Amino acid sequence: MSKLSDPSTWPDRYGDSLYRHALVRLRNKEQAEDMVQEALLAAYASRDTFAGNSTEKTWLFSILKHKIIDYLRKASREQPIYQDIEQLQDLMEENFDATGHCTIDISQWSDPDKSLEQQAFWQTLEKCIAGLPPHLATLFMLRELDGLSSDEICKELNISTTNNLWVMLSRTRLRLRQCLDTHWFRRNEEVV
Amino acid sequence: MIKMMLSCKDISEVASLAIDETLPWRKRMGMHLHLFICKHCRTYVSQIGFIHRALHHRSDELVHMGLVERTLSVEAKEKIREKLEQQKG
Repeated sequence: MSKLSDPSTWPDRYGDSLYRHALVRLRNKEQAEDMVQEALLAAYASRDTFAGNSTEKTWLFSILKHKIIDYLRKASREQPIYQDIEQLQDLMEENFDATGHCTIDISQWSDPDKSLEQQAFWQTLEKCIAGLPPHLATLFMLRELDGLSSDEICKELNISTTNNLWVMLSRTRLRLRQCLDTHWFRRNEEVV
Repeated sequence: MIKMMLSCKDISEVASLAIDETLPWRKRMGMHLHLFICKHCRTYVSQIGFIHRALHHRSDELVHMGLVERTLSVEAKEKIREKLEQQKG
């Protein structure tokens, strides 16, 4: 067994960084605390498997990431996914006519990179993400934040084909774009 | 028959797929043909690309901007420490 530090020092040494990761991912303090606790207890239980190929911190982070994915997978199975897809049908009808031509005005965003420096932009993005149908938010974050492959997401969330996943990802991006357009970029233009 | 001229709706799907996967050349060609003539879709593609880039900075920026707590509470740390001690038994 490779050398691990005394587990009773883990909360002080790694608690803050693990908690920040969980909080950014889950946006809920209680859930984030629970995830950190579960991850550290699971790490202690499987301490014999630590091979020393990575640092202790990296190992603990990887356990936390798996715990979070597992939590999101279980949470997303409580509600049928078709409800989320139906919610996005209206979005498609708003954006495209029967022949697939775009029916909304897509105008350029003024200096989007400058938005990244503004706290209010990130708050708006968070609101837009929070407004996504729950399954779509989960699969989108697994893709964009956790970097899971299409096959891995399909397996985790029980999605029958990668084609279905890709359609859902595209509609999620459509919805997010529209939300940011309405609540950030157009609003800022009005202010100017 | 292979559909070379994609619609705007098709582009919303293909452009998203291009973020996640390497596009087969037919789809890539179809997308470029459409983008050549459609300003709306060119703008759309650049905007979803921006969102993709922004999300890569999300974790750091939320912490940096003070939009999430930076520390686990002392009480939570103590609780976890006690649980670990119990497991050590």
